[in-house]
Amino acid sequence: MRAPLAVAIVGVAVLAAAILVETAPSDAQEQHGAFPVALTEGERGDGRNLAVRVADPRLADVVVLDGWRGTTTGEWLVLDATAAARSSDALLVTTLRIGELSFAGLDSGEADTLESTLLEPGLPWRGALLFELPADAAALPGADHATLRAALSSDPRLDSVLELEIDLTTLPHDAQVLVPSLERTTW
Amino acid sequence: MPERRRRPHPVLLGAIALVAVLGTVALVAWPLGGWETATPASARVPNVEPAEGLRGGLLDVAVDRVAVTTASPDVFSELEPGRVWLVVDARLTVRDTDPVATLSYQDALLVPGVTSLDATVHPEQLLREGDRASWINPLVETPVRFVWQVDDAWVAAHPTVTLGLCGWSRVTGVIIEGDYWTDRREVATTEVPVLDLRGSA
Repeated sequence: MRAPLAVAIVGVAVLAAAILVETAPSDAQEQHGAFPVALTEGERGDGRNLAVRVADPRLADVVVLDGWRGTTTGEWLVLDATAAARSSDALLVTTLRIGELSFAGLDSGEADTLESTLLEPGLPWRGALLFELPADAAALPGADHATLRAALSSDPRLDSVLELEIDLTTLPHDAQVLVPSLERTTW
Repeated sequence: MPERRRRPHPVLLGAIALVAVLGTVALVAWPLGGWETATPASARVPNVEPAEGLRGGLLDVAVDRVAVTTASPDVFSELEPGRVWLVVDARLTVRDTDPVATLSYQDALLVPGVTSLDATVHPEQLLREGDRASWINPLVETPVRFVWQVDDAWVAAHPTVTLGLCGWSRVTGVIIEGDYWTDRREVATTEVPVLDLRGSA
């Protein structure tokens, strides 16, 4: 009886090992990628240490924010956003993915965007998110389902990332957009 | 009595083998241009007209103007004695899929006789539309001003200057995620006149 029992135990162990190997994450993205949290336009989304609400995306040739006038050879994607940290002070980092291309949100010290402001727990700021894009960005492959990603680090692995899908092909395009100043707000 | 054959001397055998090997290699090399006479295509750096722009790396660079001046490029920086500002106005376009950070595009241009130690206007002070952006996004042509300090001898020796475009490869780190740059090399050059604006400063 002992031999069949040993064979059965080994068989079960091998089967368990095979299941483990087959189901365990195999690539780097699955092993230590970020945890995406889907956002809906105009509604608050919560990640581990970040709460964000994004609304009113539009395109513009020129952006005016306080005393700063943003010109570009391309065009701007402008979004109104509200953001706060949830557990500790942090800086917001945003990227926009259009097909294979990735665009960094403007974090210039000259323009007071939401991305240039220290976020504190429970104290939301309302301001603008700005992306400098090539001219006619709506014609880029994948522009109909671009993805805005908001995180607290350029390296958000094993942390949450809030994601909003944007259809650039349907956005209004203005010659100039006057962006409201950064201000304290409430949810 | 059988005739005894003498075996060839080992040195002679070695010499014959060596000649045979060299002859074979020479026969292969001959139609290819011989020894070290052919320059691999990858080693040739194209020299282009300024109007064509520098291409071939992760960045395209269109050079608009090269000038030496004593006028400060910003309100903070001062010239060291005996030196002048070398200012290159250019337009950069990222051809990669991801943004390129200031720390990388500051090295996009290679100037003979000038090193990064001469860049007393440091990367965060590179002027971009009067602003200091951390990134240049893909496919957005962006005006950038490069500024170095050079001495008078450099100016006297350079009525024109051959600017090189630095190419590199982007490597994404795993332990600390981020971009790292390797394989830096000159991928294109262009010769541009150097305007002397010292008198008009």
